[in-house]
Amino acid sequence: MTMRFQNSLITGGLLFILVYGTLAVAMPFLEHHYQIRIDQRLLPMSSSYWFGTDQFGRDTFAMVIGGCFASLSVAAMAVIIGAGIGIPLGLIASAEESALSRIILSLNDLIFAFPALVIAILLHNIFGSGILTAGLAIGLFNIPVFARTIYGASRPLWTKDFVKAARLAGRSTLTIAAVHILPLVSSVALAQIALQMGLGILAEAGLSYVGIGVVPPMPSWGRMLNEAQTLIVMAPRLAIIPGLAVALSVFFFTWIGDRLSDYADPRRRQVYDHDRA
Amino acid sequence: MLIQDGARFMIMTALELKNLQVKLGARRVLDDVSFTLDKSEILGLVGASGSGKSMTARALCGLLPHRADYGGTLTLETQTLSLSQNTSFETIRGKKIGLIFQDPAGVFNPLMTLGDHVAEALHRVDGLSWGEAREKAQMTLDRVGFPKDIHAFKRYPHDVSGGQRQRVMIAAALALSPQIVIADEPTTALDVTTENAILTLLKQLAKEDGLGVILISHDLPVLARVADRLMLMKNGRIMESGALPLLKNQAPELSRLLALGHNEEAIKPAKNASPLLQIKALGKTYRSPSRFFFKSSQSFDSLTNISLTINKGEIVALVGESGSGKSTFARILAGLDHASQGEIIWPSGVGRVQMVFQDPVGSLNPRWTIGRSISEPLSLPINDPKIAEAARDCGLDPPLLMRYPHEISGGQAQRAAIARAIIARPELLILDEPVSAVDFEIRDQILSLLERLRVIHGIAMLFITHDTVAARHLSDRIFILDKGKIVEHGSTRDIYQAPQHPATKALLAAASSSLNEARTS
Repeated sequence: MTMRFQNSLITGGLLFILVYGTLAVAMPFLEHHYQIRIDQRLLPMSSSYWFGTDQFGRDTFAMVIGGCFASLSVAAMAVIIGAGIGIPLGLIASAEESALSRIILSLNDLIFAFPALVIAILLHNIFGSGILTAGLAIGLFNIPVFARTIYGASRPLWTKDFVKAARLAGRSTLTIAAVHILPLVSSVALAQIALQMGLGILAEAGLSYVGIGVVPPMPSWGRMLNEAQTLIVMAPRLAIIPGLAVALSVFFFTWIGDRLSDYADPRRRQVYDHDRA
Repeated sequence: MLIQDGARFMIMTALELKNLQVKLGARRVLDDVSFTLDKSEILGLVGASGSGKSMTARALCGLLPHRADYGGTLTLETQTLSLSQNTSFETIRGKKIGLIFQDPAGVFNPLMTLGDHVAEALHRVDGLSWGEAREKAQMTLDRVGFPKDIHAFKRYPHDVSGGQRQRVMIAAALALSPQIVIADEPTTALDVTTENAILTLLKQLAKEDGLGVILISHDLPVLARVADRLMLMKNGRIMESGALPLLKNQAPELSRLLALGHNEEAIKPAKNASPLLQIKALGKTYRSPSRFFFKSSQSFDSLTNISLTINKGEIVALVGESGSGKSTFARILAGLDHASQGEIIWPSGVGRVQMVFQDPVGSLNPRWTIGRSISEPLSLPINDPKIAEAARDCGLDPPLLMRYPHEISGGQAQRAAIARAIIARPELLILDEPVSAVDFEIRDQILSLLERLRVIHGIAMLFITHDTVAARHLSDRIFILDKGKIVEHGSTRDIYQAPQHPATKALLAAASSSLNEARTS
């Protein structure tokens, strides 16, 4: 695969996120398109209904576009919670072996020990359904993922000579973590953020599928899949279209994460620049 | 006559390389490299880093980067290959040409026993069963002098020393009975005593097996000791080639390389001894945590009863082999680790300490420009004139300050590390093997730089090294460290003229034999 092709894929991926974000913002303006109209139910694909309508007469195309909002906002919230808490924890734990680092790592293991779905149901019972609850539940499980990844990536860096030199220069552990370690693990963090975005979209679809995600009438790909399963023989497009939407989003976020992490490294960046020149 | 010449070629020549060219992008890294290697011959390939030595070795076994564009002809006994990107090296690599790398630690699989590293090739390539392969591997290990009582098939790479790992790597290279072995800096990571043993082994193998050896090094004394012929490379071309005595007269490059490192009577300014710091009965004990609660924890004394004084503006060398506790001492003095016993007294208040490390590239943050790294101790803004001044003091041009560590040479990186250390005007500069990872030629420049900085800024230095030649060059006084204890100390001149302790004698003998051979051979 040529570098030129890879670069165009990065551009393509970023373009995808841009379109995705725009569509998510457009969601409220599409509201009248996915109102229930029983007289229009199960219409096939046509010029006025590009993807047809479902069993309640809602425009599937508008639903898919509207679904961007739920999945993007839930995944973004989960990543903000996970990265915002997990990355600092991982950095602190990696600095030196101390009581604090042991507590952080044990708490990580504790969260890993609970099945995610149980926590999601618990939160659903306490706070009710909605974007906030779903984002919180998924975000909670993102914390140890980020903490572990950053811990593992930073741990070997603390023994490097430039860290010793920074200590001799009088820098505090927190400063070293911020100015030396964090930028060096940023490519790892970036890749993990993109990966967790993808997984967050998948998790939102899963929660909505079992009925504890976003609340109707807000469209969600997960609930579309759920509602489509009884009609899988009669109208398979109702399952295929939201399924493809989920798969494509996950694929693109993972892909972008991979490429961005390559590009964040100046040694590899040189290779790109060299080959482009 | 022609037939005879042909026959001679068959019998004597192990390898012939003609007109090797390598281009990386638009840059020509090797140009018209041609040479022959006879059986039983050790050919030394010498040159500064970036001169194309390693690139030549990699081209011979098809290990060039994918982007490389290359051409030439390679003849091995009866087989002639024209080199290009499509050449298949399957039949050559490992089977006809064995490889020995610089860093024994990085090449080994930590989860495989040492013996299996040797047996693996026999099993996979020669198709022997594991049992047969292990038997044959054991024979090869015996040949390279790997001690039988270490049980190579029960031990893992981390269980043995660097020298023993290097022996295993040589055994692995020899296992498939190649006709040629390429050794790329095989002793750079080893101390002098081990280096001697490994070089002797290579020489013996060449003689007994008719093995052609290409020995690559930046260390001329090493090459001079074992190589039959030397080839000097510069900027991707072969500058000179021939036996060493001939070359010495012809190539100014080479005599300059040889002349480095022994201007013994460097001017050492006399100082009125006012102590900067005193170290009294310092000790460091490591305790390995007990594995089971009923088993008592084991402790290991890394340093015992170290007492020494460093005067203001003085350069003190602490010399010892690897594992003698030198680096532990450096860490404690720098405040990066704590002593178990003893005390460090600063008569006129705790002084500022800075440190220069062994691996110049590893001591700079890879994502920071050189200028930013130098600015760190004083937290200066990036355009502060002090940064350029410190850089200039250390012989770095201002444009280099905008570069990243991977964009500059090892020597320049070490200058940058020194600039970072002196910008804060420390009273004590700790140098932890500052020249053992750089070229022979650059080593001398760095040592001169340190000497100059001492004169200009009056910085006291603790020079920690296993390199007695460098220690002699730079220091006023020397402390010899052996197994965590100071066994001998005195003025540099006294130690060199009349060493007392066996450890001192061993260190000096190993270093001087290599130099003398280089000078007189």
